Amino acid sequence: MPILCQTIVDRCLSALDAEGSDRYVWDRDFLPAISNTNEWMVSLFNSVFSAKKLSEESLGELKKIRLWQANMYSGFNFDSLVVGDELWSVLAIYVKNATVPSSPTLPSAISTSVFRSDVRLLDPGKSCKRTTDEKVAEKNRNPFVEGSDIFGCEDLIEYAYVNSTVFGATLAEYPIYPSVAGELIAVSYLAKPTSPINIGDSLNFPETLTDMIVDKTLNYLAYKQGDAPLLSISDRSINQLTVLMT
Amino acid sequence: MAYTTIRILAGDLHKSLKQTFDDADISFSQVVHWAQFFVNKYVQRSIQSIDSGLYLSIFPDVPVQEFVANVQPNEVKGRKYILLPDSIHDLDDDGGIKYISYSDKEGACAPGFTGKRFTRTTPTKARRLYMNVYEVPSPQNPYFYRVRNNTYLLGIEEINVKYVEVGLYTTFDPFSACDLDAELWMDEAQIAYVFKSVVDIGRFIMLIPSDTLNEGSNTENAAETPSQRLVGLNAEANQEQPQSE
Repeated sequence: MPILCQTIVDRCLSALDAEGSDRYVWDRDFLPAISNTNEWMVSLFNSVFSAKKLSEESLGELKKIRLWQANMYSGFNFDSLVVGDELWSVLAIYVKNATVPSSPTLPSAISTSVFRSDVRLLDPGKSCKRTTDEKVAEKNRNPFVEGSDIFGCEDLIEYAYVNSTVFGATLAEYPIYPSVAGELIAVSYLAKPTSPINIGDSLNFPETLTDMIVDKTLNYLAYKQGDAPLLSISDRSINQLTVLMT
Repeated sequence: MAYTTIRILAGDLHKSLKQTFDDADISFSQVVHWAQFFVNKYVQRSIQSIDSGLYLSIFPDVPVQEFVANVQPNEVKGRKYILLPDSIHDLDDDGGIKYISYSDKEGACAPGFTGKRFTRTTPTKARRLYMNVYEVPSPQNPYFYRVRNNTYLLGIEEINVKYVEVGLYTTFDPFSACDLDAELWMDEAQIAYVFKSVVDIGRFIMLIPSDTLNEGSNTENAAETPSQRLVGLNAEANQEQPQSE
């Protein structure tokens, strides 16, 4: 369940002993502090994920699965304007999947993938393994490397994708091997949490992180007002929570 | 009767190996490959020690062909031959070929293997056959010899045999068959040996020094970085393992 900005503001006001006061206002104080906290949380999670201390699945509020029709080069492009989300991280790419409806219309593949909001994933089919730019070239001579189709047996193919690459088009593309050109692919990804605008908005982090977010917001407020004791207390609290988390 | 399939065997092995070492870069096709050569090893051992029809494959209509030109190597103009229809176990005296026969009576009711049987010979031994009236290759007493994938037929040069029946001890090859759900034609009691042998290979691969693998431990802090040699989890078990199959 996302965290309401109103909840963060209420807790901050309580910690600052400023309930009912006009000392702190949303636009001037809380909005910049909460926005900064939002970005800081993304950086923190990036660090935690890279150290494999926490799995991306813990951010259920931001985890989504959407379908695309792969482009004619067997890749997919994440166009945030079309999807409505900013891409934070790709968790998995599925090919050869089952969908609802089971046989959606698939027009001829074009040079960009097509976002298919009209199709829902039913069965993920086969998962693609993330590979590197160096390793992917091995697929043509080593049948045991992911992405290779040398055996020609569907059951033995381990599909692979490379992280986003610009192939001359303006939109970066995730190429998938062996080719699934024109087929439906499902992508499980983390959407970047959007910064709030109004006090009625929410932060898309789990409710259990409310304490940490409140502390970090207080921390930013303390910078602003040069409040050394508050800075020190919130710093200590954040550190404790970060250590527990990592 | 349901036999274990390579999907069941390799699936179990792949999951078991990943269970111990989830970051290990072991693909499913690798496990299938490892299982393949141990299946062949234990099947070959069974063929050599027991007489069982479990391992025999019959190919009833293998066409007899004749080379029209010499091609280096192994193709000799004018010689009749058959192409082995499948890969076979390489046993002593070409034992992977259980029999080759042809029916000398067109439309006969008896099965093909009751017809004329080819006796095994070799290019070097065959010379002597022509010196003995009782052994000379003939339609009544035909011979075969194997050169790689070609099996040459002696004694039927003057008659028109279109097809022969062949009984072979074929090898197991899931990659060319491309069917992971096909039965694994081996004694079910031997599956455990295949399993253990593949796990042994997996254990060897997991002995790769752990600092080249992402095992999730935090080594950023210098105090936590191991100062002593890292020993694989299975090191002790490997030392104690007897050299028996």
